[in-house]
Amino acid sequence: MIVKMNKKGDGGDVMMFFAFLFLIIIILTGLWLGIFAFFGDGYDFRRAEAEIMADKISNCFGEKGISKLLEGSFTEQLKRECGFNDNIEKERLVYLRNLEDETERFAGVLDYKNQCFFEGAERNRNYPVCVKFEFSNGEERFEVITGSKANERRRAA
Amino acid sequence: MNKRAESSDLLQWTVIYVVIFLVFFAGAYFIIDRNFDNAGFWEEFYAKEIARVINFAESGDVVMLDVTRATRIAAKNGKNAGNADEVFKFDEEAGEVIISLRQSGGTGYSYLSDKKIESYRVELVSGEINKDRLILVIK
Repeated sequence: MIVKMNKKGDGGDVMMFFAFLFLIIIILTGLWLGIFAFFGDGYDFRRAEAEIMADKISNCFGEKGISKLLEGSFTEQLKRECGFNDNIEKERLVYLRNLEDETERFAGVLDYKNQCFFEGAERNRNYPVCVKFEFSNGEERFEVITGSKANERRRAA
Repeated sequence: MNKRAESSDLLQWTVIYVVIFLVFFAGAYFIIDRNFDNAGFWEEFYAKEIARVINFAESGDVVMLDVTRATRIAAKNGKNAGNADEVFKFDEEAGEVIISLRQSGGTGYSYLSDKKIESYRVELVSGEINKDRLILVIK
């Protein structure tokens, strides 16, 4: 666009166009921020799911006995004995540590054991949330950490 | 003063401003319309709550959930809310529940249980006005 400048100050009109565009951007941003502030950033289910996993696992330990779960692959035993499906390995963690001999077993993403306890992990949905509890079978004590970073995803429906 | 050149410039700028105004209002209308009933949030909420229920369910359980808000939003968005398949879907292979309250797409959330969904339906709660519930039968 060729703008003819003359001594009557047409340049000011051209500059106002950019001010107008800036105003439009500010209004649209404000609209988006208002909607975000009102409706929030969704439903954070990470802690609830970590607690559900902890609950299921402690029930399973009690019913089946922890030594049965330590035979062979821990992940496969969780699926077979505790009624979990393949999703236990995706964006989740089940971590078991024997407090007597320090042996470890896990299913899922092991690094969640560290990420859970980062500063601000609870507020940031890109980090997992974990629940920790201890379990004893009378002979040995175990530390169990269950964590979840699972988030919803858009699907074709 | 060149009156013809000035009126041509004025018309050009007016057309540009009008076009930008129209684009702006179309964008604002689109943003408001998509978020007015907060369908995205409720899809997420129901997907996670149904996943929670499935995670705790045992074989033979019959679970009933109040889904009135979901069916109202779905109906407002042109879906047949009385047909459970249009709003609630279960991908057993992926272990995922998918809720669709809008015409296109839905929100999915994975559950952890190895239990299967034998059947599901949406029905009006007898004795209640305008209250829908989802009935899930766990295999």
